[in-house]
Amino acid sequence: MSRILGVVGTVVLCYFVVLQLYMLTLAAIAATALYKERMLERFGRLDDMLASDISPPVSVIVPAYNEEAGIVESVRSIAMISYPRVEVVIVNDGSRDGTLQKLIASFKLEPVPLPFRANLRTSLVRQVYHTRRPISITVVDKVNGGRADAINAGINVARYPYVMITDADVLIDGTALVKAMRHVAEDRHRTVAVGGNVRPLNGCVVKYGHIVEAKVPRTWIERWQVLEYVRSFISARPAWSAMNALPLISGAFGIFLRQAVVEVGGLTSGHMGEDMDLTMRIHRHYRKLGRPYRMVYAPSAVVWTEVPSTRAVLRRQRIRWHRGLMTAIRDFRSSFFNPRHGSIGMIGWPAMVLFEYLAPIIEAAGYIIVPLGLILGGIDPISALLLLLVALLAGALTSLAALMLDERYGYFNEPLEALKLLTMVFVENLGLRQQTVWWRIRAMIGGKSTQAWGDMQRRGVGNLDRKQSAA
Amino acid sequence: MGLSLVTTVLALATVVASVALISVKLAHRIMLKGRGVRSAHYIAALGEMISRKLLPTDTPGQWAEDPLFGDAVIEYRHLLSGEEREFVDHLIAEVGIVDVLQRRARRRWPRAVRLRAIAALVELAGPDQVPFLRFLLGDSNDYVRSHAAHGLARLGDVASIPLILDLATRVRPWEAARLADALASFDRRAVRPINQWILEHWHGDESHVETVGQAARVLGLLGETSAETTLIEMLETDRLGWRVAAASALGRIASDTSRGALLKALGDDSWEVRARAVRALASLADGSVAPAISELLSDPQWWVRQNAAESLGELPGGVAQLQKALSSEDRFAADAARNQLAELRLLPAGTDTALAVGSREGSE
Repeated sequence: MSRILGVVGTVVLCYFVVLQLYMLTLAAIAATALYKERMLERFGRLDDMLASDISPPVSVIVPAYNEEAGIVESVRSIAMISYPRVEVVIVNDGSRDGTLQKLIASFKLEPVPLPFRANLRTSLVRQVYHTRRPISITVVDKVNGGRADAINAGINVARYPYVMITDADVLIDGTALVKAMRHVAEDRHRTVAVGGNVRPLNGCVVKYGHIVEAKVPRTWIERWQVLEYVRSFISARPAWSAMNALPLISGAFGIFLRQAVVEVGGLTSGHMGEDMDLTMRIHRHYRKLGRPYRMVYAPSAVVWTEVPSTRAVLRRQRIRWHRGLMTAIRDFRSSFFNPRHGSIGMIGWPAMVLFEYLAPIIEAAGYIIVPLGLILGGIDPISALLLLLVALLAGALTSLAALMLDERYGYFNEPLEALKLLTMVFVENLGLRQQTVWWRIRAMIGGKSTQAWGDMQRRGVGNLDRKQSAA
Repeated sequence: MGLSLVTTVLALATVVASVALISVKLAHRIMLKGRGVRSAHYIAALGEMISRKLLPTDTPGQWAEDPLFGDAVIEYRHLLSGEEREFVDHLIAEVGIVDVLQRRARRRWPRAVRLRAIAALVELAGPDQVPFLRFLLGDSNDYVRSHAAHGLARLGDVASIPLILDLATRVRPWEAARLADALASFDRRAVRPINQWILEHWHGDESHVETVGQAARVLGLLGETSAETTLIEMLETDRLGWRVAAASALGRIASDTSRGALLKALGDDSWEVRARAVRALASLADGSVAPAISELLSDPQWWVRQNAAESLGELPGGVAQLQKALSSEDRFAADAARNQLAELRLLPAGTDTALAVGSREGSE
């Protein structure tokens, strides 16, 4: 028995060493990709693209449910995006608050019998509102059907060949769209999707719908999410993108070729990981057709989003995300180590399964088996301690590498801010990480489903602005 | 033993990385602060010189070496005009900043330093730097080539146009499009050499076909009627890319001369040409073409129908054609008309807004 525990415990510890080595490898690949992106940003003459008549037009789709607090400021921030041709399509998904009324009053919207082609099946559309000032804004008022359903309705109404999918509670950097669309213009025939860099808004100083100073939030739980986002968006995604193996384009900022989304049937209603599901279905669709394609990540195209600030909301979010991942793992099991699916089948998807899906199971097993093995004598204490240290240190190195790469963008000006994140690199192992493991295990066990729209109480971009101005 | 060694190495690496992170942050902050102070200093000093029209007698030598000084000069150069701008140009020559930038633009410098110098050089270079900028067109780095083309356009060096177009034939389509955008920065003097280059390469090999299309696009952007003959001829060739580019360009020039060719292009085999010809005809603002355009409301391709409806919305007498199409037996024509009338707020109340799902070619 003790011998079995010893073997399993060692395997668990070795798994974490491999996981961290994988993350370090991604960071190394990301470093090269980020250098190229930075050069392009500095010397690629992006301003020329704003003046060029060949920049493809984009429809920005904003699904909204009970977003009264910040919807107006959010639309204003989108209207200020620098891009030659852009329209905004807001989908009010049966909000129970004054989201629609606020939009109508603020933008002087008129009900217009604007015809649209229902290529994607959605809940009933009650009315379409439209204005051409300050830019073309269309509001689709529909019966509640969830986020995916709302986005599908927006895609039906969108007029341009590229759609940018975002959320009502994000702040979009003014140059984000041009930086992302540069990837489309560079290779228009192959580029079917571009993902952007999502950063936590919590703690940042916001004025007039813009970030004026990026700061690390005050609570541990928010700080930890900053570190998580940096690891994911600065270290992992540029590397996956470089290999055309992106398994996920974030729902907070993703640009898609409209036709590609329509061809795969739009977003799946009721799916808790609809962004991953859409990304993977597009991969599978193009692989099946044998059409050359690429999905890329643009780290310099930034949007800021509010992340959960309480444990309860974070718990619900993580459970929802992990259930979404579980459904995707089940739906795309044929892509796992499938050479016919190219780099996504051999690199991106296996990594998701092995290092995202299985990680909580193996980590939880480790918390039980290793102490048991130590007590029963199946594991040599010194070796176990060393393996644990190797895993923890490699993990810390991965986080540090991500923070170093992020320094290239210099969002946090003060050294004290860097110190806060540096502390988080070590502190996350003292409870936060274990708690997330438990939440993800809970997601696997089952239980009450979380709502399709999530249930985070938004402060609203506008309120954030006012609150900080008052302070 | 091996595991202990790995642990020790990792622990050391973690400590080093932590210290490095904080050090980099501190260094970054100090550097940013220093940059801010220097920029403010240069802006104030240059402002003083410009307002007093006083050239410095003893400008510190390192000013020209500092990229921030170059940035400040570029800012002033963009902001000012007339005598003040001439003074800034004089200052540029006196301080010798262009020589410094030219030196840094050479290959022995690190790529970032080099690119920064070239980006500044194209803004500050005078006619003396034309040979150097032409030399940079042959560089292996695409950013360098693109900046050089923009620099030559800024200097109005018409003689370099064939060189830029030749270069466009050898690079990726994305870069070729960017080089064509640079050509659009030339004034109308560029029309003749571009036209001539197109004629010289009319029967060129495949590598020239794409670039000829890009050159035609530039002719449209320059909006010069003297290019029309070439563009009309291109519209009648069997090369799809040329016909598409020519139709768009003729729309931008918007001259009556092209009406006949554009009307003929409405019957082109390619939907891409038809879609552009429709928009081009709308730019002529001539109501007599409305009946011909309304025929395309029944086109098999969505983009053509959409463009036809949009064009009718803009043309005199076009709205009547759209209203007539509402009762068309062709469901797709009625949809296009309905869409446009709704956009114009002219759709009668109670009209059915549900459109047919899919499209005739199964593609939009």
